[in-house]
Amino acid sequence: MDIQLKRGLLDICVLASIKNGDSYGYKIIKDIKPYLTISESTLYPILRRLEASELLNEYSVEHNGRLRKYYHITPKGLQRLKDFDTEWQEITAIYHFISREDHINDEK
Amino acid sequence: MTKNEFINSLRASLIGLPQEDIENSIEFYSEMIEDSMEDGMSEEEAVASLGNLGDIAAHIRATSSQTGSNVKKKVSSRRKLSCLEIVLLIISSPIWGGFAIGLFGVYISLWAVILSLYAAVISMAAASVAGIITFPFKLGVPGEAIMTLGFSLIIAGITIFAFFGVNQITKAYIRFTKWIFNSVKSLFTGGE
Repeated sequence: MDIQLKRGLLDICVLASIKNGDSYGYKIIKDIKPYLTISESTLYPILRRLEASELLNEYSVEHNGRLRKYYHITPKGLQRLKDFDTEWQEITAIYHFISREDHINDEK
Repeated sequence: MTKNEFINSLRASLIGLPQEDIENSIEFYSEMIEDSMEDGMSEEEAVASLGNLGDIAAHIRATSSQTGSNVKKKVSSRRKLSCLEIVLLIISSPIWGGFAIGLFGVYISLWAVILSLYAAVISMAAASVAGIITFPFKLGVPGEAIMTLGFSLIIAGITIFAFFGVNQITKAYIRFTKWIFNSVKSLFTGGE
C-alpha cells in the first residue's frame, strides 16, 4: 500500500486497537498485523505522536515482575475515530469517482 | 544478540538525545522483547524480530525531534561560573570594582528618592489635615475659610493617590532588588 496512505491509516488502527479496552505494545502489533504490516519500530513513533497530541495516554502496570506500559484512549482520541468515519465516507465517494473514470475509459 | 546486548547498543546509538526519550524508547523495546519471549520466542528470535538497529535508532531520533519533549524543558541558559572565572573576577576587581561601587551608589540614591517621595506625601497629608482643622477658626472670613477647606480637600485627594503611587514604585524597586540578587546568586550556584 502507498506509504502516505498507510501512515494515516496506522494512526487510526492504533487508536482503534485500544478503543474497546486498554492494550500494550506487543498486543497492539498482534491485533493490527492481520490487516496492515506494522513493526515495533513503526509503532513506537506512532505511540509517541499520539501521546504528544493527547489522543491517548499511558500508564504502567506490573506484570511478571516487570513493568508493562498500557495505552488508554482519551476522549480526544475517540473523537478522532469518529472523525475518521466521516472521512471514510468522503474516501468512499472519491473511490466511486475513481472507479467510474476507469469505467468510462473502458467504454471508449 | 541477547536482550542486554541489544539494549546496550541501542543506548549507545541514541547518545545525544534527551535522557527522557532514551529511557522511554529503551523501556518500549525491552518490553517488546519480554512480551515476545513470553509468547514463545527465544531471546535471540525476539531481538531479531525487532529488525535492524540502525532503522530503530533513526525512527527514535526522528520521533524525538518531532514530539519535541526535549525542546522546551531542561535547557537552562544560566550556567555556573567556573573556578577559573571566579579567580579572574577577583583579580580583575580593581577594574570593575569602581564601576560596581558607582552602580551601588546609584541604587542607594534611588532609595533616597523614594524616601523623599514618602516625605512629600507625609507633608502633604500634614498640610491637608492642618487646613481641615484650622478652617472652622477662619469662619469669620467666609471666603478664606472656604478656600482653605477646598485646597485642603484637594491636597488630601492628591495625597491618597500619591501614597498608592509611591507604594507601587517601592514594590517595583524591591522586586528589582530581588531580581538582581537572584541573578548574581545564580552565577555562583548555576541557577534553579
